[in-house]
Amino acid sequence: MTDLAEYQRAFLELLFKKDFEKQLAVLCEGSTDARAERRFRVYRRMARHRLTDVVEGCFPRLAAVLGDLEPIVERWFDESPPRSPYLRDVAAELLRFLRPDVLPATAPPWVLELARHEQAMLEVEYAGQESGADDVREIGELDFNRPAVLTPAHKILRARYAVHRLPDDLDRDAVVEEGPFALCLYRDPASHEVRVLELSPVAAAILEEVARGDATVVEAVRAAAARERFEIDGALVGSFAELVSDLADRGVWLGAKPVEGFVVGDTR
Amino acid sequence: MSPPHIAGVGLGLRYPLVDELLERHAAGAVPAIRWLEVHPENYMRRGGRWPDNLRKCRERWPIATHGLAMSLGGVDPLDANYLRTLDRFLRELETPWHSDHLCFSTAHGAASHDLLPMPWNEETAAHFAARIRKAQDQLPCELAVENISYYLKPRGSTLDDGEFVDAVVSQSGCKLMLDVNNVYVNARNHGHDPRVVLAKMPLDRVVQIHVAGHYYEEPDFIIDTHAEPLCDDVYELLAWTLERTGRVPVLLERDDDFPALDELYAEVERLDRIWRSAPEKRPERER
Repeated sequence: MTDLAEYQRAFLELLFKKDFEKQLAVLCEGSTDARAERRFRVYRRMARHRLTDVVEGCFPRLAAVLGDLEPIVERWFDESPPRSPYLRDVAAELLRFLRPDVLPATAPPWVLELARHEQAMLEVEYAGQESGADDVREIGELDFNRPAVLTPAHKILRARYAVHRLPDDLDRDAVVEEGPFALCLYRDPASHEVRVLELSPVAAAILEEVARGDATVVEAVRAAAARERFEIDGALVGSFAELVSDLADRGVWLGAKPVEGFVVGDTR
Repeated sequence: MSPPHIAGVGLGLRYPLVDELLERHAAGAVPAIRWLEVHPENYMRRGGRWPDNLRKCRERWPIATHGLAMSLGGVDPLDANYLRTLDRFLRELETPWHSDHLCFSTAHGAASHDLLPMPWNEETAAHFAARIRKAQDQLPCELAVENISYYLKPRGSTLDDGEFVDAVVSQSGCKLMLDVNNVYVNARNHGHDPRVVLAKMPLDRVVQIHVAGHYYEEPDFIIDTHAEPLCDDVYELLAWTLERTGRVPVLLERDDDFPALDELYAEVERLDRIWRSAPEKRPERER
């Protein structure tokens, strides 16, 4: 089986390595098929083409800004090729690979945030099935003395640049407002479209605490206040109630955790 | 609910087809499409519109599943998380069988997202058979394996396509998902007679047949793209095969360059005429 293991290693390296001639020679050595070399190159071309297409589909605005994602994707293949059996995971895998030194020197400073935003939109679009989202949608009850249940199809993002306001047909010279910004990305339960809601810093802090899911809503608000140093007064309580109502309408705030399995004060 | 009965001609369910397919079904306009096939990886670990679409389709058609990522020929251990999720998905869908490919797609942790060929010999046949049995133990329905298209025969190959598939199926006891287009593509690319290859395959173990279109990259080199209409040769080879297997379900795969649904539907109707003219499904022979 060692031969088989070596064959498979060489084949994967042939597909992904920048310098692949050595692997090609290993794979073709002793072959009686005169077309072997050309055909191995066909496999390399097709695998790379398919994955590059998928990446460009996942990051259309990043591709528009950089003009060509291929140099980045080529480097990603060479240094850290995909690992997940799910093709759609290539977006998250590429994002993990992205860092300033793999970007062109001329790239705008907000490019990494744009990539993170595009991947987060996909993550929210796909989220839910494993977490039983369809079941928790039925909870519906508001009780601030219990932990809240938020839809798994949401994500709170903090951003330095307003990349979420960029149009689809943007270019590298686009003017991007500097923040900070806090966003709630969520999937509309009826249309399945992903929407972006801008949050105040206070609302974002509270939602981040609530999303941990282990403390009551009251405790989460207190934790956010301590972290971000804001007062819990009548105005804040009023604004918070409006936020919860709005999030419930949007299908983000689903209700309170059922009493079974939760003891008040249990903050594990 | 018992597993759905799958018979006749089906269509591979792809995202660009879903809305129109559902509309046409509501209007009673696609009666020849009797079942659908999905790639589980498109739905596993995924919420939102994907499971919603699948639920709507499942209410209207029986569904079979065809995986892309088991890497049955791989040397890495079978992916336990993937198999657990697949098991759950297949149970929920109540699919009568599940198929994947006689290939490897991952190695040493890297995933090619491609169907890569192995040397066709006794050693790799035994390797496949052992992994198929392991995978079968973790799935709720019968596992079938598909003969792949390949563009080169790796060093160390001593068996032809038919002998290799027969060896794997015999040793593992699994079913066969026979891709007639792949047999044709391989025969053209490697200079075989497709009927001779098919005659060596365990045709009594076939649970389902795939057909698809392909693309001539060079006059003597075909790429299995699933992005073109079926050619007459493949229709003829399908008819020849169904004469020998009897009426097993036939699936039209179209994965890219989607034409108007009417064009796909015309292909389904032609396949349906061939399927109906075939004899009853033949029983499996004892082994």
